[in-house]
Amino acid sequence: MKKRELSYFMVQEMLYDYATGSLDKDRHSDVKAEIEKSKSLQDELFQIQTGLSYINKINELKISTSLLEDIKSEKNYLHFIKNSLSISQWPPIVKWTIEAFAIIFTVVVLTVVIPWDLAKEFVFRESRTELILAEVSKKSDEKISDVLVVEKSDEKKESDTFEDEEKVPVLASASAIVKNDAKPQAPPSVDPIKTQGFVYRGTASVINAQMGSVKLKEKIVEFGGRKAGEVELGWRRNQGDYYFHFTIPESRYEELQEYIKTLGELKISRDPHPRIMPNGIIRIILTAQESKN
Amino acid sequence: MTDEHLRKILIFFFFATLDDQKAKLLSKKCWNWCLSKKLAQSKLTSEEILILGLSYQWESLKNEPRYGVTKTNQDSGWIIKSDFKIEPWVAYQKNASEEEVFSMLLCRVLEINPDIISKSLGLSKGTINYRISKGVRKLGNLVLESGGIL
Repeated sequence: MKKRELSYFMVQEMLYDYATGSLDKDRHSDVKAEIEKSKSLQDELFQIQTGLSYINKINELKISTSLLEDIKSEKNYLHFIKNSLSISQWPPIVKWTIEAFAIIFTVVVLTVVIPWDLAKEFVFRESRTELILAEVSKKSDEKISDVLVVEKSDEKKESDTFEDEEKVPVLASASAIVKNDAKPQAPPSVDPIKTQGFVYRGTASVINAQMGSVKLKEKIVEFGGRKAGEVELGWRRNQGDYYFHFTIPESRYEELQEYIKTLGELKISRDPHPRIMPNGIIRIILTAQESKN
Repeated sequence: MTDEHLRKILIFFFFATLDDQKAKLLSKKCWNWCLSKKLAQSKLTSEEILILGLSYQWESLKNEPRYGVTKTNQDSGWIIKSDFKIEPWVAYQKNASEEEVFSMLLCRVLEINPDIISKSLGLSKGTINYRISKGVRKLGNLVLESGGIL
């Protein structure tokens, strides 16, 4: 009968049983023969034998009688309480739950005790408002003056109202186009002496109001005008006319007037208004309607 | 349940925790559990009750981190010989899997019959043998790396 040879892997797996004497006689001799042929198997066997010897040393550990008696002694109620109160002995989930509650409690106390409103008021004490009144394009022969930022006062300013009850934002800064050959001017500022503002209200009777309003809008933008209300320039109203509410540099007012007159008849008046505009800027409310002629 | 069983419990938890205080507390818990089980369950042998008691306490212990340090002192009650090097066991216990350490302690350290272990825990004998052979190899390797037994 042909003797079945053992593979290296099989001998490796049987080394522990060989070392502990658990193999039968035939298998024991076969494994022994294979071990003698291989250095690595001999090293592994030595490793296992060392491990077993070490464990035999562990088994030599002795227990003192006092410890045995201590364990066997009757339950001490105080000792039980002491152990129960010892946090390290509690199950992990109980410890984590207590820690979570402690964190939540701390957060709640901090939220309630610390005066966050006062802190917020202190941090956001000053507020600044910046609003661009007119867009200007920078050309080679022009120079744009600085934009001023004026702090908003604590007093609430009145909001403007028109026929359409449109609200106007508070104007708080100014910009102006300054020609290069002109003397450098000081940045525009709000005149502290002014106590009364004004607004220009006008009506233009335009031939072909629809086309005219488009051209007028383009011209206003070209002169540096910018909408001063919520609706866009040339907004068509229910009555059929076109509404323009805008600010424009005062220096371009005459030019604008001349241009509107080329489109049709213009009637414009200057009315007092509580809102004071910065120096160099005027506000105009203009409606363009179809000419009846 | 005899003093020999209590001794095995104490040895088990000493090498499982490497912490005197913890080992003492767990040993007491396990001992009380085994005693109460012995009174209630007359069908199980003391060995089987011992294995179940150790397994029950092991469940609470096995997920705790192992830092690879010992917290023992000479007056704790566990008398270690001066020529015994505990470092290889500490290194082994830190890195080996829980199942392997448990099997090693039960079978090789406490010298409980693998047949009783496999019957009590519902594991096959081959599984237990496999874990132990792996554990013994690793431990032997660590002992050799540390310079031998002595």
